[in-house]
Amino acid sequence: MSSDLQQAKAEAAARRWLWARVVPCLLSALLLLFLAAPLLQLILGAVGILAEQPGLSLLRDGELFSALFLSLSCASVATLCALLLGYPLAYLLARDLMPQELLVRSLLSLPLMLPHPVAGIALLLLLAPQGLLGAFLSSQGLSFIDSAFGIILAMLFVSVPYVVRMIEASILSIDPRLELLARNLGARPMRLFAQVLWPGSRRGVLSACVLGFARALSEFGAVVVLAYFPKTAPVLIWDRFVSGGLEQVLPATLLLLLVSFLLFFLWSLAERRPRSHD
Amino acid sequence: MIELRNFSFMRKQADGSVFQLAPLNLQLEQGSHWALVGENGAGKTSLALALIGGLRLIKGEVLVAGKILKSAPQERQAIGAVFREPLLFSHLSVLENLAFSQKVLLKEELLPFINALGLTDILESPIPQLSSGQQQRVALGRALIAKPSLLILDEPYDAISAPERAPLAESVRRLARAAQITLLQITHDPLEVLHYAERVMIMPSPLKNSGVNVKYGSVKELRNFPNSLLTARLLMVPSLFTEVPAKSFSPSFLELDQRKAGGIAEGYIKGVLPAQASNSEAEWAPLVGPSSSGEGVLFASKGGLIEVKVDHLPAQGAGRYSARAQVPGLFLDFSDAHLSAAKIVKNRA
Repeated sequence: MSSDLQQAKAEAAARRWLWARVVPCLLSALLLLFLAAPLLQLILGAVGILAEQPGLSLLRDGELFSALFLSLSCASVATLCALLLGYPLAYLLARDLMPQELLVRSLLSLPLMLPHPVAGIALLLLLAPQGLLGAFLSSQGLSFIDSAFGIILAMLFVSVPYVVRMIEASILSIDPRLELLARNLGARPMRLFAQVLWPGSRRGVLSACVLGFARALSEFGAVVVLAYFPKTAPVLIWDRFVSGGLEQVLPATLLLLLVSFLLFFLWSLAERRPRSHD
Repeated sequence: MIELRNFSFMRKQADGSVFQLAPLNLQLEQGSHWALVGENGAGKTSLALALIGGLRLIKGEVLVAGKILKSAPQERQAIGAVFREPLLFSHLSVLENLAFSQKVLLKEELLPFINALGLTDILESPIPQLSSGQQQRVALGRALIAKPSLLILDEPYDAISAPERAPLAESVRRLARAAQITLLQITHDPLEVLHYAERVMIMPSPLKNSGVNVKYGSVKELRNFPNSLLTARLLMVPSLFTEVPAKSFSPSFLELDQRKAGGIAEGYIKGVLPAQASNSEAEWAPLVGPSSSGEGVLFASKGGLIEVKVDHLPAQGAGRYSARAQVPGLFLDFSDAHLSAAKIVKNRA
């Protein structure tokens, strides 16, 4: 009788082990494989091509490096703009202070859903010399078409929803009573920001910036419509792929992959919090 | 003196209903100690938030020393609050938290508070390294140092271990008294109310979409003569027919003996006292109730049998009848008893 019971218990334990550990591990492995396999293939292909080329030709590819530099600098400026403009909006949303909140949220989410070339076309219409804003801008001698400004705007358009949402989540994690008490104890807005909001949302803001930056850096669809020149790294890669095929493009993709991986690795390092044991 | 004039607030609840406080008119003497009791969800914390300007839909006026306070939180510095969670500024040191309200940090001025609250050894410690009890001490110090006219303590001692609680509460009371700070202590502990508060506010649970009427009075008076079942329950006054287990006063019955139907009549309510209450001195006390009920006097006999003599019964003899009898230290609630033209009707309890 007792051995039956023991056997049943052992079987139950084995079932638990299967469902709690083995199945999740297998599914995760499948997903990770799906993510890693194409990248691995890409790396192998790029290394193969680089091996055939004389010397370190990738490092002498000036066009690629200037495109990469343009991408990185435009994405940085776009992220900074998203942060400066997005923080107040995120605050208003988080604290229920936004009139017409549903409308605002829908508008804010639109860039997530809109095909990016559509976003590019919309921006193009607005900023072209015939457009609403473009007419005024061109009279001031400013051009957003085929310029770094245009790239920044396109990047800002597609990355701002991520930035605002993540900052909002980080502000939501601050107890509103903490803010209330700070004001109740006499803190003026600047002090409130410096001593309550910023310390409480700092981590979230960092994450928001990294994600927004990544989104901006990888943007192709909106950028290519608004500014084919100067070429950002994704545009250059597309250009080379179309004109020269895989042979032309693979080494450049390897570089971009490395830069992206490095950025996320550094972020994960900064994000890592010491595990508490209590 | 802190004065509330027609003070009320509204708050949307999670279920979509609206919580509303019926206009409250109240004066709190400077340096007095008030308690605020009520059941869970009665809106005690909301009242605290409304007083420090944390709710948007606030009506009426709050006056401190005769001056009307605007409703923004930074205009409400004369009213402070400490909540159940310490809510400290966690990137600042203990000392910086304590001095948050001060324009200039003068450690000497803070010393009495630091010493009384036992914070001397942790002044430079980072907040996250403190225990929750220590954090709450800092929060109490921070609020007291701001020297508000009124300090709301919203169950701040919950995180404090039992042996430390009483001495800490005593330190807070002493510091408040020395600074002439009026205390409004939200608590679930009747003993805290009975031992320390002079006056008490009672918040009934909100009925859906209707205003909550806050009752208040002196603790002594309400303890002796609770004016509602809720008051009796919150102040731990034993009450007949409701709180005392049936066994202890069985048979629980209520008899109404009406001599005349209609007009001025005499009647009796009879019941049996629970054993512990029946030991109290037999006393005549006024019987009060809603206007529809009778008024009369109550006699509690030493044997445990009580008899309420009702002098004035409602004009219509028949119908729902409720009466509340008051004996010091005992709450009697004969609500919703049925009175008919017949001589004796048993109550529903």
